[in-house]
Amino acid sequence: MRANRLLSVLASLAALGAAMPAAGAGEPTVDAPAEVRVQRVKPDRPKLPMLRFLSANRDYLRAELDRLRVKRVDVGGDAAAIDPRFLRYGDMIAAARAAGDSAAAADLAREGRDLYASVTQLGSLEEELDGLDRALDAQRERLAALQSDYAGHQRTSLVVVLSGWPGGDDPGAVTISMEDGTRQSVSLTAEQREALRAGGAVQVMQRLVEPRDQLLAVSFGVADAPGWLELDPARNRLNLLRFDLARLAAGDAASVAATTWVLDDRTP
Amino acid sequence: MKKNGLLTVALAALLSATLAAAPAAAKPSAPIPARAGLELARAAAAAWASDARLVYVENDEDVDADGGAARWDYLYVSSSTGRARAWSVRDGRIAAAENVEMAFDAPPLPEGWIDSGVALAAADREAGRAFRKGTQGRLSSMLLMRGAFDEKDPDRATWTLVYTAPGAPSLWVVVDAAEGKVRRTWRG
Repeated sequence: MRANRLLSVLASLAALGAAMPAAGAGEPTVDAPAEVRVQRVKPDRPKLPMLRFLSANRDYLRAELDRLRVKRVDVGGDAAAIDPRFLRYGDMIAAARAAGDSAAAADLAREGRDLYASVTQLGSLEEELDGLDRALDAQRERLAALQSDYAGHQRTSLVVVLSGWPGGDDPGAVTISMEDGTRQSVSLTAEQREALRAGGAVQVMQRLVEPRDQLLAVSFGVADAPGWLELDPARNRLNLLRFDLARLAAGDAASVAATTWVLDDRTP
Repeated sequence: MKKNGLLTVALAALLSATLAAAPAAAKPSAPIPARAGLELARAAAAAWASDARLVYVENDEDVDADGGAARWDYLYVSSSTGRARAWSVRDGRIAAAENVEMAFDAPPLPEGWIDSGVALAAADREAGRAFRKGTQGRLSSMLLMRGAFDEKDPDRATWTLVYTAPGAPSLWVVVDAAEGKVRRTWRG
């Protein structure tokens, strides 16, 4: 009997353990928004030591770098003959402009021609069009190369969205402070207030963020104490953070509910 | 007998579930070469300042025989804001970040610097291996920067490797970060 009970407890524990999420499984995905806890007290996050060699040897390194600075030296300031190559640059520019003028004159002449006067001229026009096609193809290739180069450009960004409307005071503005010291404050416009009262949602800011686990401070209105939240934005994705103001109490930014999710921008 | 079998199965299930849920923090971080963390640090720096330029790289965990370290630090400066910020990369993630308040006017590093493993191999060949063997010393620091350590051509980016040993002066080896050649060694 006792063995049965023990068996039952162990089986329950095993089932519970299996149901427990693995580390990191609570992170938001495109399909599953995650709640973010807004805290009244700033969380104490362990700080890793960084740049230890630089910190220990900064005076030495600074002295090394100081040697690169421009120093005053005594040299003669007499004028010297101008390098003839520099003088030739002016001629080269003039020649380039003249070539441009010639091309423009040729364009004008071509415009003045009666292009349909003979089959030969039509052939010539066709050749020109083929040339333009080739130029466009080459341009397309260059643009494709540029797009390919920039496809890897990071765009880990954060969009802050508000929804709901508190029964009490007008929140006035939302301020987000990042760990790097930057602070962004947005005042709500009359239209945004109206939209929130009507049950809508408004986007109040969008910015690039560091792709790492970080601490953000949020406050509503000028006098509010901030609420603290930990966010780990997905790299190279558009991350959304929504504050539901319905439960916002005056002077307490931590009273809002926050949710985060990742925008699904995959190509279908 | 049957109950005992069921008990064993349940215990095994409990153990495996517990192990699966164990935090990953206990797992040691894998060493990576310096360039492996660069892309992530660059992404963070671009979010911080559009004109961020890499000026300094340093290992923040021990360097292994292949020039890998579990954590590398990347220091960027922004000339428009006059500020500096560093990111520490470990396990493919940014483990730490901080604003660097001290003045550090190092010029930006050029693209295409050799990786830490190549620099270490060059330094070991030239002097490091002999130093370690003769003094029971070890490589303690690797740093990449421009404008220091190479008196003849300070504009070049260099890896500087510092080998230390108990009771002996440290060995400094400066490796050209473009060509991979040792440019200077000294003890002190």
